Amino acid sequence: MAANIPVLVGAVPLLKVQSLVVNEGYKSASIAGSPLVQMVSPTTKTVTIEAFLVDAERALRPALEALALTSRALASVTAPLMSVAGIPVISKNFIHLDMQITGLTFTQDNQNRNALKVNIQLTNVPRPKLGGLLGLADVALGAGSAFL
Amino acid sequence: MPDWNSRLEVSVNGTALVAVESVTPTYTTPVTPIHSIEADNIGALYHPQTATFTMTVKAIGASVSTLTKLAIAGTKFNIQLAEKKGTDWTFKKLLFRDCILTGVNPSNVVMDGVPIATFNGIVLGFTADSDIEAP
Repeated sequence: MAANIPVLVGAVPLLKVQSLVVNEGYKSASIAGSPLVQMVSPTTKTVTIEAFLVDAERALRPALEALALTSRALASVTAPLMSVAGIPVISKNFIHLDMQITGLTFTQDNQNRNALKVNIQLTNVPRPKLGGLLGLADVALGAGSAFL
Repeated sequence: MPDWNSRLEVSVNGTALVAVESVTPTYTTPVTPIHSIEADNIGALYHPQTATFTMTVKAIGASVSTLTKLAIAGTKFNIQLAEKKGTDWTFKKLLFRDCILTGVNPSNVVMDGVPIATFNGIVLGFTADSDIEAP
């Protein structure tokens, strides 16, 4: 059986990920009165992760909330660190640096008794210092990774 | 080889049912496996448990009319399966509390023989330790 490699959001390991969606591309704009299309800039990369936190893993919820800066107190503690580097999101097939959690949804429902369903939306926020090399750090890390 | 030399009794709200043909209680305990994007069957998700029952009773005496009235009124009642005689059964007692009938077929009239009534229902109370009694 294949090893269950977790998806790491910062230091939080998600073991029961149901889907991981990466959205990226390049913006283009039509030029009025011309058949040409102007390529503008890369679109903002987003990653959406859907996972279950089952039984004891539900204790990871506060750790995810800390990463998402859901309170002013958390923001004051964590934000200075984030200004240097964002949240790395590492899975078997992808490595994304400088991500920021822009949406965090926990669902407790009456069908899944022992689980929390979590939906995490991350957006790429390039830092001017380290990760601002147009995402090249991601590529360099990816190429050096044993996962590829 | 163990023998079966016992008789079971079905009672509704403490009164024994007359001319019961069969009682089939069912516990439904749904659990689904969790698969991650990397591996299969890495955990389980537990879903709400339910219990249902089906009873067929010969339409003789007061039992069938009592149950039919309970169904129409939507009244909750208790069903108990217990050993009346002998000790061969795996259980000593099965108690289903707060049963509600969801469907009644009070009498299918046939040319010969006794009309048969069929009752289907749900059970709300079945998870307490005292509901399943072993000898």
